[in-house]
Amino acid sequence: MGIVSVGQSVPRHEDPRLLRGEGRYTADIALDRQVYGYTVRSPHAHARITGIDRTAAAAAPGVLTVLIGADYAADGLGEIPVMLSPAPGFDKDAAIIPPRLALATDKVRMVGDGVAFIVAETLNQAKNAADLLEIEYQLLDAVTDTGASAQPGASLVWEGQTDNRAFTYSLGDPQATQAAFASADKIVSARIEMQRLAVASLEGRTAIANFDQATGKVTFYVPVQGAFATRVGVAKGIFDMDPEDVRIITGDIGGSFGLKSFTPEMALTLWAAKRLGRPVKWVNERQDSLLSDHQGRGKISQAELALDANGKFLGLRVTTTASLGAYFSQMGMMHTTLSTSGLVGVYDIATAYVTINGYFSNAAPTGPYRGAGRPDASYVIERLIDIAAAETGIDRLELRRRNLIPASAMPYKTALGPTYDSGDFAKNMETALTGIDAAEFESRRAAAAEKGKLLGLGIANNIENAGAPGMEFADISFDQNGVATLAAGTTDHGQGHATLYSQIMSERLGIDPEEIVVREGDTDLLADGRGTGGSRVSAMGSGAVMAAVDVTIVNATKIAAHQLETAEADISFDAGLFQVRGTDRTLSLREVVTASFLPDGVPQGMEPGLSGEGIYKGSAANFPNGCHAVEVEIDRETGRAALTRYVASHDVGRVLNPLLVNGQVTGGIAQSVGQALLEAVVYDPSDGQLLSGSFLDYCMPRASDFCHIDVIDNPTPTSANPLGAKGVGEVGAACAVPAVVNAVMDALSPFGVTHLDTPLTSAKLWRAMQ
Amino acid sequence: MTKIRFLHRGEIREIHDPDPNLTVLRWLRENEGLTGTKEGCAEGDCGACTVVLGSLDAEDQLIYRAVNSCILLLPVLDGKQLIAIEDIGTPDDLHPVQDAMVASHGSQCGFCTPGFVASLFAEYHAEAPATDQRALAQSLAGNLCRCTGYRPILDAGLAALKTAGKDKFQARRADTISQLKAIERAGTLTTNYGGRSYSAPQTIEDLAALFEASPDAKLLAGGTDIGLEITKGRRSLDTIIYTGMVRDLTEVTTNETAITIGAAAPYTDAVPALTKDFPEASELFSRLGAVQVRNLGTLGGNIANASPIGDTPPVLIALSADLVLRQGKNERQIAIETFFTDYRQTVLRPGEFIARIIVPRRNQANLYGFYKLTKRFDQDISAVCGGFCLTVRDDVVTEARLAFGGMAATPKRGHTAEKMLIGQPWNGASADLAATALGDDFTPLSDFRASADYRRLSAQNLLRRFWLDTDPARDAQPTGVLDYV
Repeated sequence: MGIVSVGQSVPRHEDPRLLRGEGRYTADIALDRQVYGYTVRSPHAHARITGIDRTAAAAAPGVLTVLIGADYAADGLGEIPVMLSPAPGFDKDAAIIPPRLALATDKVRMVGDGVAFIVAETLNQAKNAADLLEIEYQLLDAVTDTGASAQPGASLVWEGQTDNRAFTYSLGDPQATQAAFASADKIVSARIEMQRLAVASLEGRTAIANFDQATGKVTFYVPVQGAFATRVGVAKGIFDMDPEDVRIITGDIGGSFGLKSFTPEMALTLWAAKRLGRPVKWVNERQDSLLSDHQGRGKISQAELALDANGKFLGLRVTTTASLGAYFSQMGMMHTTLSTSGLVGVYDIATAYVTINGYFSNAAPTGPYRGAGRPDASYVIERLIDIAAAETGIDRLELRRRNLIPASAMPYKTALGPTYDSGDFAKNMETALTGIDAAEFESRRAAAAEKGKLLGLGIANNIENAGAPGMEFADISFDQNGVATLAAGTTDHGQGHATLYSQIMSERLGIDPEEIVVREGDTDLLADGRGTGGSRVSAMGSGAVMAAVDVTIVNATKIAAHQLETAEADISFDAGLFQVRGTDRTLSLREVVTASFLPDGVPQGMEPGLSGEGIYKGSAANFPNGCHAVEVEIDRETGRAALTRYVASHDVGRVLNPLLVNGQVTGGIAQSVGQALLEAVVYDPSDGQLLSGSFLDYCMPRASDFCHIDVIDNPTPTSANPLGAKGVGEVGAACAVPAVVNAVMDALSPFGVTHLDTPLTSAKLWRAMQ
Repeated sequence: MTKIRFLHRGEIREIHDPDPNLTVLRWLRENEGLTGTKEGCAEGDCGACTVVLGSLDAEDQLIYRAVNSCILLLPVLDGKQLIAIEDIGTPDDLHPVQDAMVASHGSQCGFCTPGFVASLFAEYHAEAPATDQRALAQSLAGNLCRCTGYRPILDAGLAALKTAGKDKFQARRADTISQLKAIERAGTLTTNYGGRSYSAPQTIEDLAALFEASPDAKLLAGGTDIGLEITKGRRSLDTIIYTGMVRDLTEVTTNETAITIGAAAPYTDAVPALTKDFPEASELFSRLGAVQVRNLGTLGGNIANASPIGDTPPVLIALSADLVLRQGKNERQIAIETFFTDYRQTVLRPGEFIARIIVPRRNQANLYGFYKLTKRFDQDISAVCGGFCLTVRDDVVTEARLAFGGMAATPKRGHTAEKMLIGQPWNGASADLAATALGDDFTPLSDFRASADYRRLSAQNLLRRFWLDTDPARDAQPTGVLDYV
C-alpha cells in the first residue's frame, strides 16, 4: 500500500474482512460445553410479583437452572452499575437513584423487565422451560408516556416517592434570564417533544461468560463501548473480584450508537456461568431488544426565546421533562443533561436558563443514542428560531444571520458554560445555502406546486461538545518481523479506527499500513482505556496513538543512538529514518526493530524489543459544528414527505480521513431522518404494552428513503488536541433532525402550521393539511 | 436413509436425513461454523441473513436468487446451489461487489454487510441488473442498515453492476449447471429425522397421493410463514410436504384466454406474467415483502394461508381468478372469492391443495386498480388492501368487483357498493356513492395495525383514489406511485 498520511481518503483496512463475513461478533463464538441463557421477561408494565413456581420449568428437558431475583439477592451480587457524573454541578445526593438488581424481585416496572433467567443445554429448551414457569402477578396502574408520568397524581413507578421525579438539574443564570425576558420586545415559545427511539443496532446485545474454575478468572465476551469500564463493573459492581481476574473481549461490534453498556443480562450471564461452571451464552433476540434495550430521546421541552425589536436574541429559557423509564441505564442521566449547553447553539445569546426534570415511567430505560442530548439541544433552538421568524416576520435566514456568533468573536464563552475555541458559523450556513441552490428555491417550489407537491426548504445550525476532557491509552509494540501492533483503549463499532490509527502511525513512523495491526476491545492488551463514545476518538483516541508514537520514537532513538554509538540528542527521525545529524549515518526504523531484539541491541536498562506506551490527557473539549440545508417534497394527496436535496456543510476541524468522515456524517443524518420522519417507540397508554415490538412495526428507513447527501467540509482549526481534529460521530445526527423538520414545516407553511412533533409521518402531515 | 444433495462451496454436499425444522441459517452458523451470515431479526425483516440460491430454470439456465436463510428450511436446498458470504469472495480475490463496497465505504460495523453483499451478488447475476438508484433501492428493500445511510451501498452496487455477470461464478457457469444436473432428483425425496418426515415430490400426482395419504401434513411452499412458526412459535412440524419441486405447480403460462400460475411458483416468477397484463398491480407486487421474500413466497401459499390481510386475494378476486383444487386424482375449479369461509378457514378438504390459479386475460373494457396501504412503503403488512375491477360499456358500469383485505375476517367483496355502481356512469359522484355503501359491506376490526375507523375511511378513500386514477380527464400519474429521487 505504501506510506499513507493523515488527511488521505484511505479505504478501510477492516472492510475486506467484514465483507467476506469474517467479522467475529460475540454471537459467532461457540465455546466448548457452552449452554444457553434465556431471560424470562415481564408481560406487564407494572405489577407486583406475588409468586413464582419454578418446579415444572426446572424439571423441563435440558434445563440446568432457573434463577430468579431472590437468588440474585441471596447470592449477594451487586446492583447494575450506574454512572453518576452527568454534568457539571449536578447534585447527585438530591437525585433518586433506585437500586436495580439483575432480575426484578418484588415488582416489575416495565414490559420486558427480567423476572427469571433460565439456562439450558439448548436455547429452545430454555425457551420451552420459560413457558412452564408460573409467575403470579398482581397488576398495578402503569404510566409509560413521558408527559403523563410527570403529571401530579400519576401512578408511581417507585414507591415511597410523592411523584415520579428523579432529579432536577439547572444550568445558567435564572435572574439574568428573567431580566432579559422582562426587557424583551417579543417572546416566542413552543412545546417540542422528541419521541422515544429504538437504538436498533443490527447486532443485538449479547454476552458469553466463561469462568476458569481452576483460577477463578473470567473471560467475558461482550460487545460494549467501554471494555475497561465493563471490567470494573464486573469486578467491583457485580462481584467482588480483582479486576485483573476479569478479561473483557468485545470482538467486532455490530453497531452500538450508545446502546452497548452494562446491562442486567450481562450480570445474569456471568452469574449463571459462575454457578454452573460452564460457559453461558446469551443473545438478545430482536423482539427482546425492542422490549429491553435502552431507548433514545424521550423528552418534552417547553422553550422560550426572548428577542428585541430587531430580532436580536436576548435570552433563552428551556424546561425539559426527560423520560428515564423504569430504571437508569448505565450512563445514568448523562444523556439528559450533558449536552444541554448546546441549546444556545451557534448564536450570541447573552443569557440562558435551562432546567431538566428527569421522570420515571413504566417504560424501558432511556440512554445515550447517537448524539446523546446533542440532537435534542439543536432541535429545540433551531425549531424555536423558525417559529420566531414566522411570528416576527423576519426571514429565518436573516434572523439567524443577525444572531450568529461571528468567527471574529472566537474564543467565545457561551451563556451555558462552554467556550467555543473556533468555528465559522456564517460560512457554514452560506456554504449550505449555496450548495442547495437556495437562491433558486422559490422557482423550484413553484414548479413543484404545479405537480401537486409542496416543497419546503429547511436550514439548521448546530454545535456540540466532543472529545475531552478525559484520558485515553494506546500501546505500540513491534515484533521481530517489523510488524507494529497497536493496542488501543477505544472500541470500534463501525467507525473505522483501525484505518485512522494506521494512518497516523504510517505517517509518523513511516511504515506501511499493511505492517500495522490494530487491536481494540480487549482488557488484556493494555493497562487501561476509556472506550468510544461522545465523538471522542478523533481527539482522544488519536491523541493516545500520537502519544504512543512519540514514546516509540523516543525509545527507538535510544536504540538507534546505542547502535550508532552517539548521543540521543544527535539523532533526528524523519520518514522512517534515524540519522546522526550532519552525517550520512542512518538506521531505518526496520533496522532499529531488528537490532532491538538482538543481544546487546538495546542500551542497558532497556527491555529488548521496541514499544511505546501512550497516555493522552485532554482537557479542552472541541466543538464540531455545521449547517444542514434540506429540501423536502410533500405529496399533497398522501402526506408523504420525501427528501429531494440535502447539503451538509460541517466543520470537524482537520479532516483525518474524508471517506470515514463522510461515512460518519451521512450515517448520522440517516438515523436522524428516521427520527424526523418515520421512527417511534409506541407504548399502549392503556396498559403499557409495547406496540413497536418488531422491525415490521418499528419503522426504520430503508434504501429508498434517501436522496443524495452532499457533505461539504468547512474546517476551522482547533488547538484542542494534537491533530486539530473535532468530533465527527454525532454532528451529522444532531443537525439533521431540526433541518428536516424545518423543511417540512416550511412546506406546510401555507396551512398555517408552525410545529408538529416528530415523527412526521404521512398520516400526521396529511391530517395537518386538511 | 436418504441424503439431500446440494451444491455448496464448489462441492456436492450430502446430508443424511436432516432435521426438516432446521433453518439454513442455523445450519450454516451452528453446524458448519460458517458464521459470516448473520441473524438480525430472525423473521425476514432485516436481510442480515441473506444467502443466494442457485437453481436451474425450465430451460436449464442457472438463476441466482437472494433469500432469507433465517426462514429457509435446510432440506429445501436439495438440488440447489447454496452461496453464503464465505463463498462470494476470497481473501485474495474479492468479488466485484465487495471491491466496490470497499471503494465506496459501504460497510461500517459490518453486521448487515454480508447480507447486503449477498443481495448485491444476486442482483449482479440478475437477468436485468438495476441501472439506477431507484431500481437498486427496490432490490435492497429487504436489507436494513443502521450505519451507512445506504448511499455508499447504493453507490457501490451501481458501480459494480456496470460490469455485472463477469465474475468467477459466471466463468464456472457451465460446470455449475452440470453439477446441478448431476444432483437432479428423479422421484420424490423423503427424509426422516427422529420422527420428523420431509417429502419433496416432483409431480402433481405424487404430491396428491402423498397429501391424501397424510392429510395432517404441513404443506410447505415458500415457507415465509411456516419458517416463523418453527423459529418463533417453536412449533415442531413433524410431517412436511414441500411443493416447490413439483413441476406442474411451479409453471407459469399465458395463453389467449388466461394466465395460469402454479400455486408453488414464487412471486418472482408469477408476478411478471400478471403485471404484463395488469401493470396497475406493479406497485402492489413490488411492495409485497421484499426481494428475498418474493423469491421464496408463492401465490398459492398466500391464498392457502387465508390471512385476512394477505395481499394477493383482493387482487385475484378483482381479477375474477379461479383456483384449481386437487385432491387425490380429482380436481375442481372454484372462484377464488368462494375459497375463504371464515377467519383462516377455507373450503379445502383434507388432503386437498391449491394446484394453480387461473387469471383471465385483461379485458380492455375494464378498469383496474390495486392498492396496498401500509405504514411504510417497503416490506410492511397491509392495514387495508384493495383490488378493483370495473367493466364500463357506453359510459355505464356494467360489472363491478371491489375486493378488500383487512376489512373482514376474510378477503371479501363489497357487494352493496358494487350494486350501487351498476348502471351508473363511472365518475367521482359514483365513487362517493359506492364508498358510502362500503359502510354496509364491512365492519372492520381495530388492531395494532389500524383502527376500525381508519380502515373504513381508507377503504372508502381507496375507491375515490381509484376514480382519480382512472379519470380520463386527469393527466397526473397514478396517485399510488411515489416519486423517488
